[in-house]
Amino acid sequence: MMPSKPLRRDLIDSFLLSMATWDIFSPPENLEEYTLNLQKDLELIALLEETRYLNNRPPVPKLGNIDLAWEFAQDPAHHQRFVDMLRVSPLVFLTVLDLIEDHHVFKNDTNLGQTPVEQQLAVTLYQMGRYGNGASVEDIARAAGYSEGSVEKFTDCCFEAILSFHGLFVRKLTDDEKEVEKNWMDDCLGFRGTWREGWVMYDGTIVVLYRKLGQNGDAYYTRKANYGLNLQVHFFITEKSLSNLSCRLATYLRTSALSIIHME
Amino acid sequence: MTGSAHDSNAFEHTTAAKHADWFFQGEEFAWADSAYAVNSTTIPVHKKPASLEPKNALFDKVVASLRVRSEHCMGALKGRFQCLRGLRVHINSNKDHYEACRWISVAIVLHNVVIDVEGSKSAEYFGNVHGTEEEEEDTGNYQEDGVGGDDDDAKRRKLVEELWAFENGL
Repeated sequence: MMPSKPLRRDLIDSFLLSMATWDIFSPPENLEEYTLNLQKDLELIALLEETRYLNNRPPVPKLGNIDLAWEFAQDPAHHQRFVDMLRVSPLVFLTVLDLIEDHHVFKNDTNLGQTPVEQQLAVTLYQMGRYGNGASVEDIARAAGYSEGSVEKFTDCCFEAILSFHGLFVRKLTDDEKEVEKNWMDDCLGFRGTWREGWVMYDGTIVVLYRKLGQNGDAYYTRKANYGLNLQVHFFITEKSLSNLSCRLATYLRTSALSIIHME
Repeated sequence: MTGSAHDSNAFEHTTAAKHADWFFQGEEFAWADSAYAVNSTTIPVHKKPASLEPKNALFDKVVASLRVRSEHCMGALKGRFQCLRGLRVHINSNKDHYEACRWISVAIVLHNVVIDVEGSKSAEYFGNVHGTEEEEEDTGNYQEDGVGGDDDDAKRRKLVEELWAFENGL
């Protein structure tokens, strides 16, 4: 598929064509007129090159409802609504906010303040809870009352900040924690044997991609006739950490045969 | 790993598989489903026809009852962060592949934060949104004969015997 031509290129090309046509049908009568025309044309091309925005840029009306979340958080009766909206409870939200707030991605040297981190986090979580066309940047931007570009930036910043705590939350169990898992196994079975040494479970799942990829499409094609990533997860099993998912996420790049392993 | 990869192939690239010595100590091992190859650190349930034997069938049943939890967990993760049900990332370059993995990593970190802050009860809150049926659709496993030829069955046989002995009061 040919990439579509940028608007600027398109305009300049058509201008050059019209200039050439013009010269064929009414060629300049003398050298002076010729130079004058050339100068005018060059000025126009320069103008086209330098104009930053070629289209009208009308302000986009925005009316987000992301601030509703703060209202919901006020009253425990509405916490359910908060969770539906942002996928985590107000308590977890505040914990995450507390963790990432001081991360350097949210700092800049200019006097222009950044959007408050809680807004950025709320938009990110809102987006993470959605799929299909409801998860498109356009839909998220409309619901949140920010521009599409901002939504992408918010997500990017929050991801970077959250992932800086990857090692803290996704890690190997300590010996004591392992012992808890092993004791749980003993209780579950009613006897103590080699079984208790199995403190972890492996499982795989496919994270589906919403459409076919531009690169190496076939490598992502799953037997369920969709495209996805294979996620390998290691679980711990006890009541306490039931479904406490410590994941060694194995990602695999087909082209370089390089495997990236997220570990502590 | 990309979606076309079989679970056991994808697994070979994980830390636990590559650095088993670092991950497991002594007799420690992990439970898995029948898609994985059996060895001293990976104990899957039996494939047919071995699974028809009464001793093995008992073993498989008990392991399966333990493993239900991991499916619940997948459900909870995909129910909470539903972006994982159709990741909106255009993969046109290796960089985009990392970007897609970033979405998954963030979801997992946040899932673990929920557990640390509120315990497993609330972690399971979204479990029924993405239930067993949906997960069945997504699971990367399928039965394939002849995966992993160099099976080392000794540890699993030991476990089978232990359970059998216990259940029969020996």
